[in-house]
Amino acid sequence: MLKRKVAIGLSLAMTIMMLAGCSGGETKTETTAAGTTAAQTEAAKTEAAQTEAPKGEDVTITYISSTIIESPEGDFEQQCIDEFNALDNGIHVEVEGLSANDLMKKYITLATSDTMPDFFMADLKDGMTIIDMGLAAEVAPILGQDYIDGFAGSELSTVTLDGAVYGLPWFANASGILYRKDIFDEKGIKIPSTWEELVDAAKALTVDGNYGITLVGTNNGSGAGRFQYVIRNFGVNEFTQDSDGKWVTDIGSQKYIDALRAYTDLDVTHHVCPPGVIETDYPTAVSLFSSGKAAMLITGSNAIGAITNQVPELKGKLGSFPIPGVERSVNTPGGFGFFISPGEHEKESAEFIKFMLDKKNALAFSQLTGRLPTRTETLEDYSIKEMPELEGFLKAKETVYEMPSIPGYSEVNDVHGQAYQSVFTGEATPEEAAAKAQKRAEEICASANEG
Amino acid sequence: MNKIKSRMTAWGFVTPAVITLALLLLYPFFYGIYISFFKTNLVNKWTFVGLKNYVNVLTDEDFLNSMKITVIFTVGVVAGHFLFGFLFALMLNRDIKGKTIFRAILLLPWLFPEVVVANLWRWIFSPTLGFLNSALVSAGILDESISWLGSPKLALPVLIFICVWKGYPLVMIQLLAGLQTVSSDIIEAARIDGATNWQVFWNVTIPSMKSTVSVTLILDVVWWFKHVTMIWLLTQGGPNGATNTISIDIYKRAFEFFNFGPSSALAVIVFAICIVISILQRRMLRDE
Repeated sequence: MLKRKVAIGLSLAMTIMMLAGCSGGETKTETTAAGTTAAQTEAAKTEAAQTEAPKGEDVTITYISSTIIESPEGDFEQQCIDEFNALDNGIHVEVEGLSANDLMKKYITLATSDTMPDFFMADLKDGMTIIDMGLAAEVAPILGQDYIDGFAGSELSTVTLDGAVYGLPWFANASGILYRKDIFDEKGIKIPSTWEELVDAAKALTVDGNYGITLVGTNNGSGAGRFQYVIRNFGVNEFTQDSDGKWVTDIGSQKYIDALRAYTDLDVTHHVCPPGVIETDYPTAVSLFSSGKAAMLITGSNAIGAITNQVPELKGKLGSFPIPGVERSVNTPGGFGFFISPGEHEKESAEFIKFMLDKKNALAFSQLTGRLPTRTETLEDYSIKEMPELEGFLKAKETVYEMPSIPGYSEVNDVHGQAYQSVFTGEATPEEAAAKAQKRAEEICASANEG
Repeated sequence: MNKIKSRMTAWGFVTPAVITLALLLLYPFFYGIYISFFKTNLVNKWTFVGLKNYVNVLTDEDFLNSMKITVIFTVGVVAGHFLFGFLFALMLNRDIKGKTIFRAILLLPWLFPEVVVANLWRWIFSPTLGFLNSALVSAGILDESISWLGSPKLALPVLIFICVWKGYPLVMIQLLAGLQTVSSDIIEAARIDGATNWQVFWNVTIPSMKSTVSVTLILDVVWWFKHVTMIWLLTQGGPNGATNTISIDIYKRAFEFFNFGPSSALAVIVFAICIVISILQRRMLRDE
C-alpha cells in the first residue's frame, strides 16, 4: 500500500515538474552576451551582480542583435551596451546574439509564443513584413517627430507605412563595387564607368591565377542581393503596382534577360571570376578579395569592415565605385535597424536606441565598419565624407531604388538565385532561366493580389 | 473499491507519459495539420483556404522533381550505410587485434556534429581553397579545379558520399549488435554441412538478424528521407535545385519564403509517405 502511495506521489511530482518545465509564460527570452569571450565574461558578471544585489528600480530590457556576433561590429556594440549600463539611469540592457539570416525565423517563432524581446534588430528590407505582422510599435509617439525627421531622406522608406514610421535605421548600406586600389594601380587600370569597361577591366586583371571580379553565386540573400544591384541598374523594376493597384512584375522581361546574360557572362563567357562561382558565398568572396585572388567585389559598404578586420594591411588600399549604370544608375538601399515591440518598455528601449544612434557612437561605428550612418547630422560629418573607401558608395547613395513592399517578397531571392545558378551551370540559357523566374514572380503577384 | 484504486494507480503511472506525448508530439503534429489549411504568417493573418495548399503543392512541377531527388538521395545514402555498415560490422565481429581501436576510429564520423562534418567536407571539396582539388591538380590528374558541390551533375553524388561517411557508424553498430546475437551453433552446423562463407552469410547470418536489419532499415530510411541539416549546410538545395530534396523544399517554403501553409501541407504529405514506407518495409521484412 505504502509502495503504491509512493509511486502515485512520484508520478504526480513528475507530472508537475514536467508541466513546470514546459510552461514558458514567465520565462523571458534567454539572454546571453554573445560574441567575444570578454563579452560572455561581462554577461556572467552582470548576471552574478544581479543575483547578489538586485536593484529595485532598475528596468532590464532585452534585445536581439545580429551584429553582436560579428567582428568588428560585436566588440563595438558590446562596448556601447556596457557604457549605457554604466550610466546608471535605471535601465539595464541585455542582448542575445543571432545570425542575420536567422533573425526573421526567430521573430516569427517568438511572436507566435508572445515572447518578443523589448526591441530587436532586423534587416530593413524585412521592415514591411515586420510591420505587417504587427511586431513593431510606431516610433514617432515614443521619440517625437523631430527625432524621426533627423533621419536622412530615403532611410525610412522601408519602415514607413501610410506615413507612420515603425523602425529606426541604425546603419545603411549602399550598393557598389569595392576594388583593390593597389592592384588597379599596379596594372594601370582606370575605374570603369560602363558595363563594357567593367568587363574589360576584369579581363585585364585576370592574369597569373588571379581574377578580375568575384561574384557571390550562392542561392541566398547574399547572392541574390548582389544580383539585384545589377538588374536594377539594367532597368528592371521587380514589382510595381499598376493603375488599378494590382502587382505586376518586370522579372523575365528583355531587360531582365540582358542583365542575367551580362552578369553570368562574367564567368561563363569571359572567365574573369575565380572557379566555383556557385559555391562562392559571401565569406568566401571576402577571402578571395582580401587575399588578392580577386580585385573587385560587388557588395555593400559593410564589406569594408569585414575585409580590413581580416587583413588590416588593406586599410588605405581599398576603393569603391558605383555599379555601372546601363539603363539607369540606382542604389539599392539597405542596412539594419531597430524595431520596438509594442509593450511596457517602449520608452526605455528608445533611450538605448538613441544612445546607439548618437552622433559620437554612430560615427565611430561607421569608421570602424564601413557601414554608413543613417542620421543626417552624422552622414554630413566631414570624417565620413573623407573616407576614401566610401567614396563610390556615397556617390551611389545619391540615387535611390524604391524597394517594393509586396507581400511574399521573401521568395524573390530564390527566384533570382535559381535563375543565375541555372545559367552559371549551363543548365539553361538566360531566356529559359528568365521565363522560369517570370512564372514564379507572376505567382507572387497573383498571391499578393488575392490579398 | 479495490478495482477503482487499481485503475487510479494505473492512470497515475500512465498520466506523465500521456501528457508528455500530448505536449511534445501530438500538439505540434495536429497544429501542423491545422496550419496546412490556412494562408498564414502564424502571427496575425489566418485565411482558411481548405485544401488549396495541398492542391498547389501536389500540382507544382517542382514537387515531382524534389520527390525524385529525395528518393535517389535516400536510396543512395541508405545503400551506402548498409554496404559499409555490414563490411565494418563483419570485420569488428571477428577476433582481430586492436578491435577496440578500429571500433573507435570507425565510430568517429558519427561522433562529430553535423555542422563540423559539413564544413570539413566543404573545405575539402572547395574549388578555390580545397585540399582535394589542390591534390588532384598537383598530381596531374586534373587540369583545373572542379566545382564538386557547384556542379548539378556532381553535387548529388558528392552529397550522398558525405552523408554515407557521416551516417554509416550507427548502422554498423546496430548491425554489429545483431551479428553478435546470431548463434554460433547454427553457423557451425552450416559449415559442417559444407556451406561456403558467402552461403553462411546469405542463408544463415542475414535471416537470423532479419528483425535487426528491418528496424535499422526503417530508421535509416525515414531519418534520411526527411534529412535537412547536412544538405542545407553543404548545398542549400542547389546548385539550381540539383539537391533540393522534399525536406529542403519544406524548410525553404517555411523559413525562407514564410509560406507556412504550403510548407505544412508538404510536411503532412511527407509524413504520410514515411508511414507508407514504414508499413511496406515491415511487410517485406516480416519474420515468417
